[in-house]
Amino acid sequence: MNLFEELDTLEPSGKPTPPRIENPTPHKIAVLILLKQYIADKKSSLDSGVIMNPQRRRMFCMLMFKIVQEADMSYYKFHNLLTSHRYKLDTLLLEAFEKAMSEFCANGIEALFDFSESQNIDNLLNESWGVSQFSMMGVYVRRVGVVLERFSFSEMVGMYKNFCTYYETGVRALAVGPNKQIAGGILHRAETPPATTEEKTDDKNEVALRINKPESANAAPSCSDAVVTEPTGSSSMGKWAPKQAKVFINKQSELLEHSERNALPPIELHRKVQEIINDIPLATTPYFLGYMNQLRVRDYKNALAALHRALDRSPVRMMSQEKGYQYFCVNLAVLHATFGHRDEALAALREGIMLAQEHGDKRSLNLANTWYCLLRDELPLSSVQRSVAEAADTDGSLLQNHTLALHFAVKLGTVAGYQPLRLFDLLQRSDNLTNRNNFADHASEALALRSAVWCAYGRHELSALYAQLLLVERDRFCRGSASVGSALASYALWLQLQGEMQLSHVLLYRAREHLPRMPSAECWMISQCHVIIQSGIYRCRWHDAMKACDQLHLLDPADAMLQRATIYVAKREFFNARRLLDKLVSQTQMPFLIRIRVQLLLGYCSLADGRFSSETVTLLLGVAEEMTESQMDYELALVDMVLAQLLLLLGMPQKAYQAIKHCMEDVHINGGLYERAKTDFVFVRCLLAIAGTDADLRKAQLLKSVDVLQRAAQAFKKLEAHAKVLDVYVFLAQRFNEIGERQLRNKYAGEFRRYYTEHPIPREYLGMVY
Amino acid sequence: MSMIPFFPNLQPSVPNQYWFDMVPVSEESQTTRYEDERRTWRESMKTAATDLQPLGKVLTLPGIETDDEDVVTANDDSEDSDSHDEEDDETNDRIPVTQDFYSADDIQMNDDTSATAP
Repeated sequence: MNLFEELDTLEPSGKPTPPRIENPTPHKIAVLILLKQYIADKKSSLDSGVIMNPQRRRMFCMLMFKIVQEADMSYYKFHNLLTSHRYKLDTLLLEAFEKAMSEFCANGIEALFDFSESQNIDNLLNESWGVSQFSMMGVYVRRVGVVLERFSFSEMVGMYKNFCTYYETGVRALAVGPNKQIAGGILHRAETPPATTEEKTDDKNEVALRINKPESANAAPSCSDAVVTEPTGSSSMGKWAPKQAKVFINKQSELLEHSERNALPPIELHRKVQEIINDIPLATTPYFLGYMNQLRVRDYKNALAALHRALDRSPVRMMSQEKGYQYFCVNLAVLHATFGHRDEALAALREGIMLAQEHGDKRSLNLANTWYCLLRDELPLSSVQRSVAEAADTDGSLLQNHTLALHFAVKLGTVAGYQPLRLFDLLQRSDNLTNRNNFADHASEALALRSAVWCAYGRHELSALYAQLLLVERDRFCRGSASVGSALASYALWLQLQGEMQLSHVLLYRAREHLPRMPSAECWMISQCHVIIQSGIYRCRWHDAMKACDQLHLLDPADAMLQRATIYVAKREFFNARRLLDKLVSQTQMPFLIRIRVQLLLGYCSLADGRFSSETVTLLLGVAEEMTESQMDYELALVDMVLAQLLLLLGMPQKAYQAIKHCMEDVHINGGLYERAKTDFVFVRCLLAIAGTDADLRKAQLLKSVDVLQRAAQAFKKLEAHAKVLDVYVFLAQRFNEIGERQLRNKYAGEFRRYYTEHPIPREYLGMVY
Repeated sequence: MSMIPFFPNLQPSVPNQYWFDMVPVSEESQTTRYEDERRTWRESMKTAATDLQPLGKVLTLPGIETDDEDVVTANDDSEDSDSHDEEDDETNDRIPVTQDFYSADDIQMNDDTSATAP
């Protein structure tokens, strides 16, 4: 490649010169030979008046479409494509093609000269029976023809030799491979001419040469020919054309963004990118694809180097005006943000904003501002209102920014504990924009956000429904992969809480496959930690739960501390729990939900000491008031449950009964299995407490409540919460003993014994409050 | 007390397409440019060297005045056939000959010994 060409592109004042057309490769010649056979077929059918099968014509057109857009392939792959189930060629056409190919190689170089005659090419582009010259296929044909015409003799000889090597390698591979002998695929040569080497010798070229060494005179290839592993496209056999490269890069970058699993694996993608860079050195986009690939495997140093290379290669002028480096600065900031370097990202953003203002580039200014807000976790509300007001007129990118800003505002509002009505109002506006402009990924984001908002305000069932909706509709939203991740994580946790451990495990496995790496893997990792912690609490496996807390600490420190405090409370180590809770209370910048839960746990701590005081009641009442204000109904229900237990201990059964009745509905709708069973248990205790000392009444109440307690015991069994199961049996046996029902007492004592032998739990874990 | 809200990842995508707003190379125009070049080259072949006269002839145009000694007329053989051009040769207006064809310096026109000896 000419060095001066390369320097010209970097010159700031020069206008962009269009690149040269690339040299045709043997693959392209083979495609044209196939096309020629098809057109001959079509012409003969036109002449004879027999109409060609329209299905066949359509499949042939689809096949051509596919071939033109993909990279060059070896003859082996090409032939397999022609005989594949979907694009299966007509037998006669296939035979004619194979015959034409073998004759091409057999008849010497005149065949190539005849082929590149302008008359032959014009025949392909004939108006009545050929391809239209302005169609995609027509341009493809013309590009090959126009370069072939200009070839000098030595170039023609080289081309011919390459073609013969290409053909013979492919034929040998086909003969060795699983397909049957192809008609007309006989080798007319005694030995293969060696392929011409190009100036740049790379390993693959040498491999190709080694494979294509002149064979002995027998035509039957030996099986020691490792020809089935045919050389890849970087030898002279295949070259990337700009259009093929563009299609490949667009497709891969789209996949990397939205569904990373379906993109090529990192190493293979890297190799292909290097091939494209080798073949088309002046293009910018392959460098950027290489950068995205490095980013995907989280290789910081190489990603930075790749980004710099992409910048070096990008044209300095765009549309006859200086482009400036603001986009590069923003991309650098994104790189730093992905790796969590907040300060460096902010510094790069500041520079990007300055450059954008200098060049008057509104789009990049918007982008930089968006990232600035995201990184600093703040959003000036006035700008949101203003942008919502002027949302109607502007172009696509600004509208996307608006919807993003609205979503971000909703997230911040949820974390801070704003009124849900206002948040849903913002979501409604964003839905308006999204639906009018068909932003698919914003729509899926909005659904996931709704699920999160409902969850934060305690309507867990609704939240689970929205998550399920998103997962079911993900075919429509095939682009929203990050939202699918959060929906999977949320729903997996919900299933775990409902006792469906297997389903939860399946969902988390699916999430792990879909999003294998950070930072998108954060959601399912957090979910998994929570699943393990909950399971540990139910089964009294404190060590497992603590380990999961340690893992959670890397992802979300505040939440991890809260979970650890919960475990201590469940374990009845109230001193440790209080220590952690006090530390949490002293932190200022915490999400509203966590603050509420800290208060609740403090309530638990004081309750279970046995040394309760009126302070606890005041604390709980204050918390209840706060929750009512911010409309967190579920947390309020939990507070009521704790209050009920406390009031029972204080000897106020009526009030306790009121409290528990107040909260049962919410807990049963939105709570997990554990909470529901616990609520039932407390309810029965309250019921018996208000029956007072009247023995008959107590007996009647007890007999009525046996079903409820059985259901609770079943629930605890499903969750493997053995301690609680034993608690229920102990309670039943004791109550029946009090009222003198010996048979029932023995029954439940027997159940206790049976369960205890199966699942021995240390005595100290029985009778826990949590 | 166990569900936590999972927020989706609210970040714009990594590659910003605006950076790559380059002038799109139209394949059609590139190909037509190549084809036109080829065609004009071919056309030019038809009319190539039409401005050149056969050997020994000069093109007379109203133009620059030159010395008579620079211009050499053809030898005796061609004079017979081109006698009607003699009149043109007498005019003063001649264009200087170029080096593309033989001049008298290169070939001994009036030499008795010729290359093709009988």
